[in-house]
Amino acid sequence: MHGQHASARVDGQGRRSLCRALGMAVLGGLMVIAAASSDAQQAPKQVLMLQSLHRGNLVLDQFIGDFRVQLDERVGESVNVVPMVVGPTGFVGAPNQAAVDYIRSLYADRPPPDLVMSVGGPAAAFVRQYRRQLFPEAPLLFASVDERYLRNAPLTDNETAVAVVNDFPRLIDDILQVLPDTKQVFMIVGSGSLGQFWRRVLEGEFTRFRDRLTFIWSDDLSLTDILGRVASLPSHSAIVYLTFGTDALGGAYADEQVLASLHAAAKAPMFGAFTPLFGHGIVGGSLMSIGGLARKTADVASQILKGAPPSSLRTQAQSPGEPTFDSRELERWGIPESRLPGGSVVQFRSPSLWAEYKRAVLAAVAALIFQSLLIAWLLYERRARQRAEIDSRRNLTLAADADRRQTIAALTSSIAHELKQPLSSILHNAQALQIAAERSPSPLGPAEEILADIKAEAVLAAQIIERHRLWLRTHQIQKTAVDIRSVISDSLALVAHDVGIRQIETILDLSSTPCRVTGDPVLLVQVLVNLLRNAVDALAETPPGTRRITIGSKVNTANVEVSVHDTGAGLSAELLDNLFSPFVTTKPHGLGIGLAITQGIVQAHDGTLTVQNNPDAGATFTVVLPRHATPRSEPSRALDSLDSRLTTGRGG
Amino acid sequence: MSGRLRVLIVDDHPSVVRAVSRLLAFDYDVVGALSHAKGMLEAARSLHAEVILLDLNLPDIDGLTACRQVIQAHPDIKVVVFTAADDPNTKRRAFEAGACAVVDKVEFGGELLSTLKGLDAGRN
Repeated sequence: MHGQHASARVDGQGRRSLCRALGMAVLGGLMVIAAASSDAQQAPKQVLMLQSLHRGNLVLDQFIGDFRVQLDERVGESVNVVPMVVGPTGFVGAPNQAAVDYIRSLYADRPPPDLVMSVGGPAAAFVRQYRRQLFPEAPLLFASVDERYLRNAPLTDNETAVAVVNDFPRLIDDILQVLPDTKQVFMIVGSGSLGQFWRRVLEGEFTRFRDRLTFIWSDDLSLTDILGRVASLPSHSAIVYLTFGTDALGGAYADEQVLASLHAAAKAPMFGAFTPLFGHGIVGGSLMSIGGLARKTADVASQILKGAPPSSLRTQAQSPGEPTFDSRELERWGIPESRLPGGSVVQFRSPSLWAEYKRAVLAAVAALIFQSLLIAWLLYERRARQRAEIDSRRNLTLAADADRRQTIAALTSSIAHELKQPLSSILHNAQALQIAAERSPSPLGPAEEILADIKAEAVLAAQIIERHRLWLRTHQIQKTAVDIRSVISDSLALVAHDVGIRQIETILDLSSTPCRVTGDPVLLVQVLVNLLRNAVDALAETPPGTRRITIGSKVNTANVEVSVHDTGAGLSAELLDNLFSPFVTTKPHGLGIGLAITQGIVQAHDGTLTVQNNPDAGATFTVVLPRHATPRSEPSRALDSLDSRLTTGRGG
Repeated sequence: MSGRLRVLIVDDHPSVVRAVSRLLAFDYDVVGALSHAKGMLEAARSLHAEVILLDLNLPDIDGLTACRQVIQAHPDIKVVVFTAADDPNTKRRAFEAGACAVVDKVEFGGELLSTLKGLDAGRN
């Protein structure tokens, strides 16, 4: 079954090869005819290129491609290169003489080529064998030929060569350096005469490895068998891919196809000797530069075409270049780069993230930076806006506060003006009554005392109105030295009635030393009265037994401090912030101007009014006023009368 | 003119007018009381007023204007401005308008009586 299949395949391959050969021949013939039909003086130079292998051989393909480009550049005009495959992948099995005859027939009515060149070893052998029949007068260039082909037949004057020194033992040395444990090497050298040639040559050159390595030759195997063998190679094996062309069954294969199959199937690393194989699955090694060889060959060929005698164009055979390795294969087979020969070049390294995505990374970083800056700017703007909003709110609050204070001032002034009229009536009526009493022959008795009280209270009311009005309008106060303890006493007297009704205990905790400040006693009494009334109101919900107001006074070097402490419910946090703003109140019927006025009076006395909740219950309002600087010798008459008024210590 | 000082009160607050009239009646003749400036000059003339106790805040014309009118029409009549306004400028302007005295309506020390007493003494 296998044999029948193989035989059918030979026939198929043979037909395909014959078609390709005939196609090339027809193409070559057309090119020759086209050349002959043109003007002789302008006819392009004719080069008969005898190739060892057909297209598909990576080495040959690159060589011919590079050579033709280089040749055209060097000659300066188009050169007509007529390719003929005379090697093992041409008309497989066809007799060489038939190929010779065919070539000769193409030139039967045409001038001989300006240059005959062979490419590769088999073609060199062919042209040497049939040189007499193949335009012996034309210059002959052996290109890309191993110098072993030329050893037994020195070049004539009309011949020259661009040879190579294929150093395959050096390749084996490279293998042993990177894979020191290698025990066997599977050699792929093609089949037929080419394969047999290389096997014969290399077996001779590899004798020095005899004790260390076993070489397995594949020249007698089909491609299928080869693939099977490489897939089952034992460990410590290596594969050397020299060339392929055809397998033992005569099937011609392109290198790319064979290398891909081998690479997929192989259980061992694969090595090669020519640069065109690099990147097709070989690990690497000391590679022959085919590009360099093509350039060198084009140099020689162009000079021959320009008339230089071939004997003058001898060149030194080209050797393999520096060791070059494929990073991907090294990684695949676990070969550390530390084992590579000195001066090795490693290609196809996996680019780092930075190398591969440098632009993307830079763009991302730039975008990130831009975004960060944008965010920072937006945050800055947001914060600035928040500050502006806070400032705006504060300004609005201040404006509203000022507006409210102006309203209070205007309202108070208006009320004061209107109150002055009835007060004027009361005062003058009292005055009239007093005169009447004085001039009456009979005394009025208690009515006189009542009259005096009416007049005194009317005067006090007028004074309160007058001082408030003056202060609110001009922010000026009448300043006299006053002991704050008398202010406390007068204030307590004014609220005594409310305190008594509401069953509030009052405790005085006053300094024993004078607490003198500079200020308007009427306004200061108003401050204390307001604070005391506030405390009285704060105790409305407090059980009677625990209703207590403590009034304290302290004096220190610079200040006099008065505190009003209650045992009520205390103040909410929100209220604490706005308590002194006008029209802020918790009282159902309050206007919320009492504490605002109180604070205003204190501030007019260069003092401060603060409030805080007590740790236990209620709140404490504290007034701090600058102490009046009194000469030590100045008597304090106010204190004398004060002491008599404060003897109880507790009011109620 | 002999006899008691003749006082004309011009004030739009009736209770004030009544109280002041009672107070002044002990020693002076309150010849009349007007609640506005209209007819004031005629009343002063016809009632032979020697002193006009003039409120500045009148319903028809400004008290200072009224003061100037009185001084212009009856230079011999003394005008005592009797006001609830405690603004120093008002006081200054009242004197500029020709008032001989300015007394606060809410006065605590018998200023009104002492002012009239001074005028009465000056008359003689």
